Amino acid sequence: MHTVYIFLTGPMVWVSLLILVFGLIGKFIYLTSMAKKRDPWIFNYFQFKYAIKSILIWLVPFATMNMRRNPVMTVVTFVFHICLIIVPIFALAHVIMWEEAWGISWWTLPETVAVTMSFLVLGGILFFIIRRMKLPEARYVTRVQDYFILLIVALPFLTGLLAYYQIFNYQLMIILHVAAGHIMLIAIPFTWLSHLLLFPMLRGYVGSEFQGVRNVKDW
Amino acid sequence: MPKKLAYLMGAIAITVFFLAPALYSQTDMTHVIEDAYPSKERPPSVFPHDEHTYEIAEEFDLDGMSDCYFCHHYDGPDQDHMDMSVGIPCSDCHPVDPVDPDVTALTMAYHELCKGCHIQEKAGPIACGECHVR
Repeated sequence: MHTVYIFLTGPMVWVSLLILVFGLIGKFIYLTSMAKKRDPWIFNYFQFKYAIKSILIWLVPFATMNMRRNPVMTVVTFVFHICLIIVPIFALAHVIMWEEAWGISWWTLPETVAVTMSFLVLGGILFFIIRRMKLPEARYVTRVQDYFILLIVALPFLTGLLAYYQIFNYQLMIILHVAAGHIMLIAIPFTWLSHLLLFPMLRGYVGSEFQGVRNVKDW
Repeated sequence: MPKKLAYLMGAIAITVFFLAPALYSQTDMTHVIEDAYPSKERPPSVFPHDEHTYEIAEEFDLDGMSDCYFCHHYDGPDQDHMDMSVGIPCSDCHPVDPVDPDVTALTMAYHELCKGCHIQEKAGPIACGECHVR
């Protein structure tokens, strides 16, 4: 228990963060070099002002036509993503561990809020699973790995809640929780979870073409 | 002096003699009871005090230091100070939210003291819910 926990909350954090950061940098370099071969013209008409405008608009709920067409999906996906990002960064136990390790500390969520937000993440995942199974246009483009990444994202929150409530064997659960977090961080560059990088890249690409060349909105 | 009164006083004296150490040890202490927190986010930490005093007295060569000093330190900024802080609430020196950045905050003081030793000794709880048991 001691050795595994200390390894997972110590050296392994650096391993995961390095894989995450360098994996994403590698992916960025690979995709831009691909673009140089397949669509070199993008480098002529790419403009940051159009890229940033597109990214910002797609970050506002109901700002795009696509979001207005699917209001339920829009609400679920925004709540899901906000909770998914906020909870790990501001959960009390996480902030305390950062303070112990690196001496840095910031604002924390009240425990009940963090718990509620974790349930919202799991609820969102359940919604996405059902949507992928039931909605024909979603089912048509769904592959096994799409369910797999939903599982990867669900596990840290599921084990986090079980560890918080101390259900089942706590020592096992806390180790599973930390391990699940590492799996998610490491999986980001190698799965569709990399859309945290691909989203701004794609919006920059489409935004520059639509706004700059075609003179139309890309939202 | 009537014989009965002498017996009674003798009995009281013996009782006090044997109870006195109990006043200084914390035989019945099972959890850290800390009133300094304005709100408690987690249940109080499990802490059987006397199991620790026994271990510390048995296991560690304290170099002439008092056994209690091991946790009940009172050095502050003056590192040569070797007084003990038995009876002084931890929060008197370690406020929940210290203004001075050099002062260790109460939660960190507890965590460093408990977890630090447990990690070093490879014994005892180190994960959140192992101490803060629901």
